[in-house]
Amino acid sequence: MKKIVCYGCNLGCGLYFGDVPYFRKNSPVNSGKICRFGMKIHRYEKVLPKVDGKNVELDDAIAAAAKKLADVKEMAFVSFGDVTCEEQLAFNKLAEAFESDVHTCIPRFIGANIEKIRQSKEIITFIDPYTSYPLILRHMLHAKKNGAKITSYYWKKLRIADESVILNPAEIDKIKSINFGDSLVITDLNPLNLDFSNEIIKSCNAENIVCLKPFLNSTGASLISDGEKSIYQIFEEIKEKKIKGLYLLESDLGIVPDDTLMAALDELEVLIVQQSMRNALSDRADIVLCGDRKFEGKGTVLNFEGRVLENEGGTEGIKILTDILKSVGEEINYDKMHAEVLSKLGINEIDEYIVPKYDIKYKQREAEIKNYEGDAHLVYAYNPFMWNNVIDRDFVEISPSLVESLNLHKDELLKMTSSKGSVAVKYKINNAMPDNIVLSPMKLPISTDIVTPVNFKEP
Amino acid sequence: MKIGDCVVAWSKDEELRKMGASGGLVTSLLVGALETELVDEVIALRKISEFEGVPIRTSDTDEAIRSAGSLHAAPINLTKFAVRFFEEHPDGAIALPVKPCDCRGIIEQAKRRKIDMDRIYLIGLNCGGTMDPITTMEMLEKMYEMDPKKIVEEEILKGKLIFKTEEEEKAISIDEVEEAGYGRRESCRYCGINIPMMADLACGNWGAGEDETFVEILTEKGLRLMKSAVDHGLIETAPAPEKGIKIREKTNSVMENVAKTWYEKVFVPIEDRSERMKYYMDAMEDCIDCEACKYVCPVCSCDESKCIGFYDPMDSHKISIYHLIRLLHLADSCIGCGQCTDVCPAEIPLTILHKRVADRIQAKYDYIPGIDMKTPPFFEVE
Ligand SMILES: Cc1cc2nc3c(=O)[nH]c(=O)nc-3n(C[C@H](O)[C@H](O)[C@H](O)COP(=O)(O)OP(=O)(O)OC[C@H]3O[C@@H](n4cnc5c(N)ncnc54)[C@H](O)[C@@H]3O)c2cc1C
Ligand code: SF4
Ligand code: SF4
Ligand code: SF4
Ligand code: SF4
Repeated sequence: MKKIVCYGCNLGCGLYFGDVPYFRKNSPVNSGKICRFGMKIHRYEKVLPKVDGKNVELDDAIAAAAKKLADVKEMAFVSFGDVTCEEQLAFNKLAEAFESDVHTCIPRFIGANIEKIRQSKEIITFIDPYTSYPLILRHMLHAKKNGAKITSYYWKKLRIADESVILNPAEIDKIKSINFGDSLVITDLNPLNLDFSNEIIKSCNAENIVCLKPFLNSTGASLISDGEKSIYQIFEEIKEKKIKGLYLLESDLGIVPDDTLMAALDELEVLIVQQSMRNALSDRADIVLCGDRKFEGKGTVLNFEGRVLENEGGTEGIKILTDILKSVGEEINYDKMHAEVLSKLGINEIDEYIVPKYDIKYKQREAEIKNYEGDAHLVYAYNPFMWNNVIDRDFVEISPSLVESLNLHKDELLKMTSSKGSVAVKYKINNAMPDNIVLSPMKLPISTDIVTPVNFKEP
Repeated sequence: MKIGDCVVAWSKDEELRKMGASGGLVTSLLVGALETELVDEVIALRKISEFEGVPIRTSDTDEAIRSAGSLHAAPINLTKFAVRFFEEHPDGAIALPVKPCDCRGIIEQAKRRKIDMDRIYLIGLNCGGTMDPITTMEMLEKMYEMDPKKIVEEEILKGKLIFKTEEEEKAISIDEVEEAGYGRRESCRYCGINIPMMADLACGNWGAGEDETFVEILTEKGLRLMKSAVDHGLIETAPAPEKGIKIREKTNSVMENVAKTWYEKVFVPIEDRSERMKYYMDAMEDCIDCEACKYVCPVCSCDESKCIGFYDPMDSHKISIYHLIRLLHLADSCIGCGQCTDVCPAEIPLTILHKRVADRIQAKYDYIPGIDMKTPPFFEVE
């Protein structure tokens, strides 16, 4: 069994993997416990190498990618961080060879660590730990058991919270008036909510913020790569033809709520994806290069605390990048990348039981947090399945009084309409839900943003 | 040697004798079972550190030798690894070291036809308990003021938990560390079975001298294991001294009493029925549906799990059907091994919840799971 890190989010849960997952009880973040996603990490269809829709040998796909990279100027390189630091660094080298940067779409930030949660007396949370980053829940429960007061600001009431403040999409900017005091604040940084987290990070002392992130190595990737474009900027620049070619390393742009944005990809001269999972993105790419499964890459991973973790596995992903770099006369290999990663992190060896100190300046965003129009809203409940485009729960949550006011019967579907059209979905009644919100753990075709104004009238 | 004998035994290989927890007997038996082709594979824990052991299944004797030694901070149950062996090799044979809870899990699986008792050699290890590795590391820093990374050895002696580094040795009484919330896992504190009399052999250091193992030979298979290791020149044996037999009996009875005291402390009855219901609903409400508790449970054996099959995440009940089915299914078979609590990401004290139900049912039917091949009472419901 190999010692691996779950790629469902950037908590850094350790586990073993043989042909199925097993609990690695001495893992410092999670004591070997894993969430529903961790239990299912291996269940995905591997993609095959492809060029222009045809299955080819990997070497041919690599050659095709090298050729396109040489031909197409204005390439953009994106890696959210679902790879090890070594692979991210190799990807940097590739981008540099073509005079570009790698964008992670998540800014650099490292805040408070797990121990701080456990010792807290007052916690303010903006995430739902039961859904979004499940292995953080136990540390919050520990604090609560020791008398911590927990206040949540979320789209529904949270069981763990002593006080639940329900966020209203029409007045989201009210979070500006929260008095954080010395509370420990738990929030997340993900490519879809940068303005929201920006507002929170701006208002608190960085040492008091636990900032969770969605991908295996979001933190490590953001330390290694310098690109600063947001996911939305990338789409914009493709539309404006400033970006003509795109190389995506284990990064599914399809996480954007508004899937009409994806049409921009058809404007590209070339879309190269290097990933392991077959999905809609790999189906539409011009060139598909398949690396190790997300949990099988050998190397170093940094969790949200900046804790350095080791992942045992192979170097297939780095090998692909090495082969492409050869075409421009650059020589890299895993060992070189590993040495450079350790030196960048300022450490000599990996010790998962300590959290190194970092001196990182968070770069504030210019944008202001915005309110959403309308009286009722469809909201995404982030979860590891969503980031990986897997439908694990095919229903939304709504309040009992919404069910009553819409006169919905047991097996009926909830109908919703947004500016993009209508859907009918299964629903679950939840007393914790407010009447004006529909909470969805999956992406629905009518969504335009993480919060989408909807109404329940027949179209 | 015959069934019923108590002997002391040790490895003839001096290096292995030192590497082993108490004489390297168990490892020698595993090696012997492989070399004499009694078995196709063995299961053991490969030591990564004092706080990490990885379960391995191997036919390589060197690998078996490398996993000598006891890991007290590796609370892993090996039952499901044995089940997987038989899934892959229905006609194969296997040997493994088993703590009482491993052994009980295996026997319950055998009743459910997942394990063939004639083809599994159970080398029982006496067990005073296992510890959670992360909490133990924290205890070392806070109570022992020792660096967990420097620990080279750990042992339990005369009610004290002792840790050694290259430079020093510190001992604190188990009562004291457990009062502070450290020490053995909760389920081990009240676990009432220390000597695995249901295994083929019961091995331990109680009653044994330095670098030797006290062995009670319990079955024909156990005798076969011992004899083939002797014949193969791997181990040496001597009759267990009277004094050793007495020490073992006495220590066992002391441990049984400690377990009883803990049991009474943990399982304070909830007399009021509605309070009891409230207690269950409240405890289970944090569940995040990961199913890890089912996956890890050594006695759970459905091919198509009813608990998962009948559960619909769209249900809004406070206790899900999943848990209700599990409470029912495990009522006659829960062995209180603590694995479910250990893996629960929501820190739900599942073992206590299951045992509260199971102990009543098991007492009612006068049935103790995992100690013999008696049919589980629920199998007899018509
Ligand atoms: C957790 C634990 C608690 C124990 N408590 C007592 C006690 O209170 N009183 C007593 O008399 N004896 C106890 N023993 C047994 C004792 O420590 C020795 O294992 C036994 O005497 C055999 O020694 P040996 O040198 O022959 O074993 P070895 O040759 O060292 O072989 C031991 C075998 O056990 C395996 N093993 C190690 N750790 C575990 C584990 N956690 N779970 C399952 N298998 C494991 C190893 O991989 C190896 O195959 C305990 C053992 C364990 C593992
Ligand atoms: S998805 Fe996140 S919380 Fe769940 S096991 Fe993986 S890393 Fe841990
Ligand atoms: S439950 Fe009993 S047999 Fe199992 S590890 Fe704990 S004390 Fe040992
Ligand atoms: S329910 Fe829990 S304590 Fe009982 S046998 Fe299963 S894992 Fe062990
Ligand atoms: S392990 Fe815990 S969270 Fe997971 S299903 Fe069981 S009770 Fe629920």
